[in-house]
Amino acid sequence: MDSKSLILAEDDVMLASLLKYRLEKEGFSVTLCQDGKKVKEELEAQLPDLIVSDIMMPYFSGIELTDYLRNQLNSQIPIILISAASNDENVVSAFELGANDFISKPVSPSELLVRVKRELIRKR
Amino acid sequence: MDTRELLDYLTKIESGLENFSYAELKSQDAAALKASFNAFKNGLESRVFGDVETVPRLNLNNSNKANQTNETDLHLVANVSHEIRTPLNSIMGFLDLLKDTGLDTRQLELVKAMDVASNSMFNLVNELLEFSKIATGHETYEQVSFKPKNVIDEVAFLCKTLINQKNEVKFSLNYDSGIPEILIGDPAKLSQVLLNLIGNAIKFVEKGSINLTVKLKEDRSKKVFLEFVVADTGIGIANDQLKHIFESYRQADQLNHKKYGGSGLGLSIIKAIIEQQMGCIAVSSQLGMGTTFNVILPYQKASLMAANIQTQETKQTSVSIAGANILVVEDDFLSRKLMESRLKQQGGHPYLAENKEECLYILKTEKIDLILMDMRLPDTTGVQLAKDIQIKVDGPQIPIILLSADIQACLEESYKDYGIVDFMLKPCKTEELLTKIDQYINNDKKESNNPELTLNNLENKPLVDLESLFNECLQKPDLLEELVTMLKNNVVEFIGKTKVHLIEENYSGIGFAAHKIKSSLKMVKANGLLNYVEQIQDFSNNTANLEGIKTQYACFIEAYKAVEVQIDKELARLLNGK
Repeated sequence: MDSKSLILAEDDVMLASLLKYRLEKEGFSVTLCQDGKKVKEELEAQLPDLIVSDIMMPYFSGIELTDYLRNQLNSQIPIILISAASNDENVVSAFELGANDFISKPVSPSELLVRVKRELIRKR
Repeated sequence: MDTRELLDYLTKIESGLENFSYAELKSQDAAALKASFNAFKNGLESRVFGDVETVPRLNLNNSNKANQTNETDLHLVANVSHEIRTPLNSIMGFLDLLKDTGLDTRQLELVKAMDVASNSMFNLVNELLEFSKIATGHETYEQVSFKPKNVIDEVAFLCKTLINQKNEVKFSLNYDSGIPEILIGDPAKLSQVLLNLIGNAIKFVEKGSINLTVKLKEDRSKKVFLEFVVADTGIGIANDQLKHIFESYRQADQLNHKKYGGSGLGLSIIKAIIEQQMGCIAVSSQLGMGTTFNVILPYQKASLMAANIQTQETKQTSVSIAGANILVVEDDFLSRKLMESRLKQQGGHPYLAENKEECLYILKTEKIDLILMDMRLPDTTGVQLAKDIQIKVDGPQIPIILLSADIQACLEESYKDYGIVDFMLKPCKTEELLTKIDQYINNDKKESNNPELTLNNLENKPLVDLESLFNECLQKPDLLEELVTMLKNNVVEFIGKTKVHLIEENYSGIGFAAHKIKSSLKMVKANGLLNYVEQIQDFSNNTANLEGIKTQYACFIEAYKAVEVQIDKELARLLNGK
């Protein structure tokens, strides 16, 4: 079985490094994007198996990303959003637009791994 | 009467006035009186000694009549700018709120464009306001004692954080150790000038270096001339444009303006600020090679006695104020909160009083080991209050450390009778403050205090938790180290950006910076710091409470010092444990 590809969109380098390390350790191939523009470029080149994205990001937020993916690219690949605990409304609109799951900060990498795997099983 | 005799006479009045005025008058009246008196004396002095020190106005036009209209125009500009700022602030606030109302992609793009536009308008209005203030000669310059080294260090720190994003730009500082430790002048204006010049350099250097050199240019009996050289290896300025560089409304050329933005007022403001302080500025440049700005500014020397006070500071490394009950009498909210957080950080028990009444009440109800007292209080002076305490409060005399921004006040020997054991010049550094407190409480306090116990108290406070992060790293030591470095960089960036946004009163900038740092702080469970950041975020997003932000920001910086120590300790422990 070849490794699943995953886009990790997170502008905080510290959190991003930790998550990338843990995901790679589990055998995922991870493309790290520090802002929304970069995510868009990546998506235009090739769609990954799953996206993990922070909601609040420069240029292109996680919500916009969800909207773009579902309504412009017509893709159903799973999206897991990372949200700051205070942004309840954002999370609701993200689900309305078709996000699959969300996890609040502080993010536990172990919890994220479980959620990522679950989404990939559901997809199959 | 001979003019010199007159001057002697006035000097006597001045010293008399100094003793009486603070006790009898409200502090601001006394300060105003003293200021006007000083102006009179300086004017007279300059007539006698020929050292003319009047503030020159920005020379905008040669004809007198034109000057007059110009001034009216400038007043209008000042008023209008000020009036524009308030509604603009609300517009920016509402734009922020609008962003969170579930807009679609297109709408959000439009709102963001409005945000950018209103931000640049805000900066423009601020510059205009400042420009008109300076041009009409309404800018005032402080004459306070300050430590030039501290000002320069702060400027250098900020510049490093600004450069943080530009990997290929290096910043270096050379500081002449011959510069007196304390000078008298306007430290805020100095950092404004340097930040502006270095900020420009940062804009124009894509790759290369920026250097700030501070030299003692001339040392006279009463004053010194400092030279500040800001040299960069940026794009440079062509010769024919160089002579226009300090003119208002002109950046070297239109093309540059589009690329680098700004109102083009910056350098003319800087030049005026320097010249109004009797200094001068020059520029030299070679296209493609870089630009060098030379600034010379005069500063008054502090008296020998004053310099002594500062050099007396003992450099002790292990001070302990743990368990000590310390009363802080200070009317300024910010200073009081800052002092409280510093003392708490070190395990002290601070009590806070805003005025005489509160101070006496606390002294009657609590057992206080030491008092930190501000010289200027709303209803009395520090010295008068010390006298009152001696009369009205029973029991052994409590040592008092007097804090003052005025170096003269620190020199009166007779104060010692009222229990005033020491003085400190404001603003004081944490270590100096702790050393002094330690010196006066520990004579009788130390035996009763079990040092091990206090050490445990400090250790028990979990400022950060690296352990769970280490586990999430699957106990990989180099990853943990890497993450900790990132954390520190993020904090430095937050401190620098917030400082800049505070100066610009850019609430959305502060809110965003606060939001960004939260993620890193949560990862190490730095809950104390997180608390301050959440307050900052709340104040900037919801209430635009600048004073509140400043307080929390000061507390954050203070608290971070201890957290950083803790982080390093924890890191060493975890790495060595494996």
